[in-house]
Amino acid sequence: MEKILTKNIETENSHRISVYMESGGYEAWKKVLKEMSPEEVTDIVKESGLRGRGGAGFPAGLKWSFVPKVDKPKYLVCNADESEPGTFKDRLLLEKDPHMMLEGIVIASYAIKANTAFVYIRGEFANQTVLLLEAIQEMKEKGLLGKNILSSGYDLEILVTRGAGAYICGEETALLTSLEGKRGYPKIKPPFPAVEGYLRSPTIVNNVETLCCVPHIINNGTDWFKSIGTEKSSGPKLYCVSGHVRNPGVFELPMGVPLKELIFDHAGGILHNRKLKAVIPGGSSTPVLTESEIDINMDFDSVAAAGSMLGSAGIIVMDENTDMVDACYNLSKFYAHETCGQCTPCREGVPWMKTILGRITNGKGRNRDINLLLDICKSIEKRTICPFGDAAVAPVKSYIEKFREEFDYYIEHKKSMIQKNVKSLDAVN
Amino acid sequence: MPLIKINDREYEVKPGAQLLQTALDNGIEVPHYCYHPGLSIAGNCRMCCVEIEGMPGLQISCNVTIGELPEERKIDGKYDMVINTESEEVKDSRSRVLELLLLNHPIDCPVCDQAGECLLQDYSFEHGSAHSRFTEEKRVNPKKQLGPEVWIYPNRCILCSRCVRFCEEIVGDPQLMVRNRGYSSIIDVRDNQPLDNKLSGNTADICPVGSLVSNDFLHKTRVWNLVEEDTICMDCSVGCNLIVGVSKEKIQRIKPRLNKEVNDYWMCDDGRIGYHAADELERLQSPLIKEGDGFRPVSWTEVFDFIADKTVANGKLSPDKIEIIGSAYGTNEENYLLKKIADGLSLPEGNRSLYPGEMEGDAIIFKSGFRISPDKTPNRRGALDMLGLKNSGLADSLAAKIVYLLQGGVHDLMTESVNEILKKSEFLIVQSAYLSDEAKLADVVLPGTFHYEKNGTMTNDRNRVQRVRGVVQTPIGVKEDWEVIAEFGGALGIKNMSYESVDDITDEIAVRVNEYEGITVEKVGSLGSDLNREKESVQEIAP
Repeated sequence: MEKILTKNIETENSHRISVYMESGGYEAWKKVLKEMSPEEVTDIVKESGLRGRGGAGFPAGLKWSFVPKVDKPKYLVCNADESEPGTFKDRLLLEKDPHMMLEGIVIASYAIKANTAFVYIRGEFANQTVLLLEAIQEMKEKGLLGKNILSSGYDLEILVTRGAGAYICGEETALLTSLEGKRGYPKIKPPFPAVEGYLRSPTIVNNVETLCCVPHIINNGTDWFKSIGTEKSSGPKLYCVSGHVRNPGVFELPMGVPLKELIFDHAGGILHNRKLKAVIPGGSSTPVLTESEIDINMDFDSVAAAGSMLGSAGIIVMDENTDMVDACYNLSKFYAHETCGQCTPCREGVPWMKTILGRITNGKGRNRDINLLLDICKSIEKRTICPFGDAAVAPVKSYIEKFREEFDYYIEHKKSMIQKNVKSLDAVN
Repeated sequence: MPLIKINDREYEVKPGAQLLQTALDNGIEVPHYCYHPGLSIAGNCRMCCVEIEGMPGLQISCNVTIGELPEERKIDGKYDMVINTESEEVKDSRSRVLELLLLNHPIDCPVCDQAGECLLQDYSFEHGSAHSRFTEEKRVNPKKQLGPEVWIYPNRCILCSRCVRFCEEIVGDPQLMVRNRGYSSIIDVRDNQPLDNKLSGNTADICPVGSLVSNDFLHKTRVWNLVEEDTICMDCSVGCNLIVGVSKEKIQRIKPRLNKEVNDYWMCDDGRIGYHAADELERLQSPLIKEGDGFRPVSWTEVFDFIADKTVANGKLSPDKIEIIGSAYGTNEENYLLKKIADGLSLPEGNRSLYPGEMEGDAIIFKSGFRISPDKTPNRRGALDMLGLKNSGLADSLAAKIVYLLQGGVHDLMTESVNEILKKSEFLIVQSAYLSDEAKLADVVLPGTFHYEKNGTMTNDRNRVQRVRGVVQTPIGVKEDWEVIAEFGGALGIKNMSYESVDDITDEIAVRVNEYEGITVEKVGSLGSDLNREKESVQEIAP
């Protein structure tokens, strides 16, 4: 496939506005300002079938159209708080092509009639923040941002806010409370951010990759966009492949590429020629797939049909040497550390699961622990303010369901079932 | 009007009504912790989940607003919402939330002040399990005094954030916060500064569990030993409505009582601990007559004979030589009887006055509008109305006069100038609960009552007449102030001074005093009644 979102990343100084503009950058923005009304922009994005790339896959244009016609300021927020384990696609875009994202931001802001846009960037992205601030400065110098942009009468400011290290602030309502300068707690819905978000004004939160698609849709039209990917998941997608593969990295391919092709062709297959054991398809919060379940296409609906989620397309590959109990404990440690503590089930239940899993890996598991873990999952699932509870439950539930014998073995024998395949390791060394 | 169905019963509700409150108002119990009608919606405890037809899963009822559906979308052709608060799924959800809330709870009910009125106890009993599946080590944090009125026992905390929201939304001073994240979250003071705002005690009241507890009530008694009585606060002119908990004939704690017109759900700390003002006072238990440098205790008969002898006997009574001083701490009834005496004796207009004089200062007004008045007397408005006066304060001179002074409350207000004025009186009668500075100057002291012993009505500074109920008994030998005044009047030969109860006087006021017309005991009720007075035409006493 011809590269769209990553077309410039190999070019030297691809983060500079000159390089971006040489390759046709900001033509979409100029076109929008000259020829299009905000409603037209929203309609085109709606028509293109662009779905949010942050994880939930909500249609972006539809989200924009929820902004009510009220006499309040409107805000666009770019969610650059990429912190889902196994996901590193937005970082690449921020680093190599910040202007593509910025062009998406200005077009989206125009579409929802916002005069202020925010980039909420992950605190750990220190270098990327510097590049981003420079890029915004470059835009201003070219007159593409600020007051009365290109004499169109439209004003827009882009402000950059850095996160302070909390995973939960990637959740859109928590991101907004954090943006407001408060403790990063998710908010109860309704009201939804599109109606009452930042400072109780209509706010649209979009992922970096989602916004990066927007200029291309404007430039090439909806038919072109729909020709890429599947009928219900259109457009290009960045897949992050990590774990036990020979060639990990970010791969730009159409929506709906077969998972096997991704792992075995693009990512070079399993390291040391070992057997594949399990794959997390969409970041750590999505249910794991076993070796027999990976014959699927990577689009929102196909992955959902297989009982998991495309999520952020953070694909984590695990080989036959992986101790699934330990892997499960590892993830549960992450979620127990990152729960914000606002609502009861998540604050109490998630750390409880971690403690039990820790006990099992310490050889102190009890027979009833497995059923207890599954029951705690039930106490958390769908009972929390935000999707974090479901995310924390997904690994535990799916690991136990799909690798139950490993958990039972651990409890009975007080050690892991996995005998590390030392031989193949030796062969490499 | 939307029509809804909760558990097979129909209810008509106002559009925009909030589901949880609607259920509670209709007597349907929906367990909840973080929801408080006086605070914003947090939705964090997850206890109030209910099933709503057409909505996926369970919904937290505190965040559901009831609206009207278009005709074609009505459920069963007529309902705007159909709710089940008792389905198996709802019950299962409650017991799951309870299990999680109790994981780290120390279950130290035997030493917890909240026991007996604890929502964790109540709901566990109804929805919880007797056994815990939690076998790990519990999270432990030490108890700590957050401020003068409040302690925190963090191990009992369920992080409902009511206290945090209270400080932000009602006080307007976010002194409390959630410290740390997730499992380590803990309620704490901000910047190590004490929780010392004037409303801090309310945080202990609204804590649904035993985490925030009152310093004043700490380990005093079990709540089931308390007899609770309704009255109003007498520590400033606002007149907050109260519930007073009494045991062993002593006040053990004071909590606010909901009155949207006066204090909402709240009260200030001054009022909460104000009852201690009487703790150290040595109560008078019989009338006293001055003898040499000291006083001689006498019987009630003797003292009224003595007063009659000094005043009405031998035609000594000349109306312009008598001064009657009412009290802004006294009830309407007490002051009304004094006016009745003054009228009976045909005192000139200027021979009635009100003590103490005006109190200067600014009101403290909090973010929610809750107010603490600078006037620390509870009934200046009512006393002025009863005595037919415009202003309070002593006459400049009481020289050569027979003076009666009702003290009516516990205070220490006597200034040099008051001292000078009172000293010059020829014959001074002071009615007081204790040997106050004013009483020390008197020729005759009549024992009176302390404010939580009083019965009657008071009028707050916004012209609302409210009932005062004696929550504790007067000591042996002491009569209520209104009884003493009535007998005093009788001793002076005033007619119609005998009453069966204080309520008779209230009802007499409702006939005799212009603006109080119709404000009978029944009308005043438990929440009070506004005066028949144009609000704008009234000059407010406190700013």
